[in-house]
Amino acid sequence: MEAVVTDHPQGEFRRRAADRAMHWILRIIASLTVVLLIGIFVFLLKSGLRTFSEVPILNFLFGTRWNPSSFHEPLWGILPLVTGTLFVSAGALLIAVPFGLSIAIYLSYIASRRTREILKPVIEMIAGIPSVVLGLIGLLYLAPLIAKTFGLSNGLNALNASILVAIATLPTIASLCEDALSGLSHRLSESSWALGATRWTTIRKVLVPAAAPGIGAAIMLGLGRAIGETMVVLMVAGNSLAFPRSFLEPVRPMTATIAIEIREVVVGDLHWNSLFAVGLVLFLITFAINSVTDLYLHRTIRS
Amino acid sequence: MTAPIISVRSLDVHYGSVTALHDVSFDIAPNEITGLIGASGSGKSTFLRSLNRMLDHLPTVRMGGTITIGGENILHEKTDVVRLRRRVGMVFQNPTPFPKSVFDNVAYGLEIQGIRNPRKSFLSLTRLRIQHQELEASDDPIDQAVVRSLKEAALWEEVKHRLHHSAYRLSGGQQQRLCIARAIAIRPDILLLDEPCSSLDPLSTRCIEQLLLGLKKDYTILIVTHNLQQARRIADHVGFFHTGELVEFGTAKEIFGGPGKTLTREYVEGAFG
Repeated sequence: MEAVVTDHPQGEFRRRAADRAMHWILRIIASLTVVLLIGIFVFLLKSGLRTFSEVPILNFLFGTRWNPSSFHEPLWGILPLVTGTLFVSAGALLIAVPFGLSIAIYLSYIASRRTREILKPVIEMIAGIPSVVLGLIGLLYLAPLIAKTFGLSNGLNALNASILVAIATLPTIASLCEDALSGLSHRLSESSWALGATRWTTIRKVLVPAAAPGIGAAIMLGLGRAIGETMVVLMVAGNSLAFPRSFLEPVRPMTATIAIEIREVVVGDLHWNSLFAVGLVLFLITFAINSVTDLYLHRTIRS
Repeated sequence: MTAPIISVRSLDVHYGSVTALHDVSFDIAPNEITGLIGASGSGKSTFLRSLNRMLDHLPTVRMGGTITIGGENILHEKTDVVRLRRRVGMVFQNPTPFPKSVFDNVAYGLEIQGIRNPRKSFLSLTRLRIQHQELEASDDPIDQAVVRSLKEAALWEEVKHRLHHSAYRLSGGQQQRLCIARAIAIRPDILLLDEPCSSLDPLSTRCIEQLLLGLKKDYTILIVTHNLQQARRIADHVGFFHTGELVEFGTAKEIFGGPGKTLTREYVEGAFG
């Protein structure tokens, strides 16, 4: 029998041309992301590096005082800012990782199907809370609570910021940990039970270690999110340029510093450039974290 | 026949409203290999999994009848399942090593009983730095159990230089023998194998069959298999399951020589299944 649809030669040509055009359009759009990344890096580099013609790079990186607008002797040490970032993000992880992992374990191994189907979207919805709203909660409720608990004059400090940033990173960590755990083969659990292990032993000694690469990646992504968080720290971290010594002291992380000071500087002057240099350091830190995660993941997958 | 180690009486298993096993009764003698054959869905795997209460983990399962192991009805609700599974080990269809080192895989069953593993690697970052001769001479209970089990599982010679390697780096056949070593490390009385060779090549299959023949002096072995030749080669007794019932149970010679029932004869002659 004859084929019902005969192929018109012109029709085929047109289809092929459309095919090829689509191929190129998608390819160009995809390459744009690479251009974007390089573009941002060059943009930071261009302004940021100008700083170092006037401020020695070591003074910049390891100086312990940041006071660029001083009339007598401007100081460009970003160490207090970096420490502030470290305090807030480390504190956030200390809170978010145990919570996130517990939620993930509950969702993937203990919760009933129905509970999981309700709870998982709810947790992911936390990611949709604008961080300015988290900041408001920090100002209105958390700050007085912290001030009262620790007997401080106000509760705007690294601890407050850590708790709120932990809430912001919790959905990332919980959701990715859950993916890592529920992606494991059911056979692993069965093999462990068959050896006389209880459910809890199995989770602790087989399943969590087996999901370790995924859990590690989740933590690293959470860390990236925590380091870049701006609005919350701007609102509740306390904005002090003094070198932080404890979680109960106000801090001013790198992101907050850029956001606060960029409005007050002359475009193109040293202070302007130095803020780009801070951005560059921030970028390099997150880039390093991502690279280390990638390397670790590849290493574990290979062995 | 010596006193049976396992006695099954009127065993029924239901998954929800589906009957998976109906009125199964027979005895299994110690230190023998019992082959369980039958088509897919005949209930042979369900039977195997009822022996170590693996079916407990399925939410809708209901079981009736009795299974007596060592004088105790293991289907009783007060049975200590953890203790039962230490006496009745299991090896699954696909090799399921844990993402740990070879050593830690075998040590796992003892470790969870609270015995300290002297060679534990931290996050698989630290490596086991011990020569195998030293390990063989060690008097630590975990060291001894690991060496003994790997030797019994005919794997020691192949892995003694790479006990710290991830178990995932072993071949499929080696992984399955590792799973056997892991199961016998805690010295069970009974070893259940659920189609242990179905994902392996003929050479690895041969290796495991030899291994099982060697192991039966110490363990009672039950093996579910799709491979009739395998049952013929290694089993002492054979049970034929069909649609949830034990159609026939007898010596391998009886089943494969001239089975009493037409259904059995048709199955072993390859008429269906």
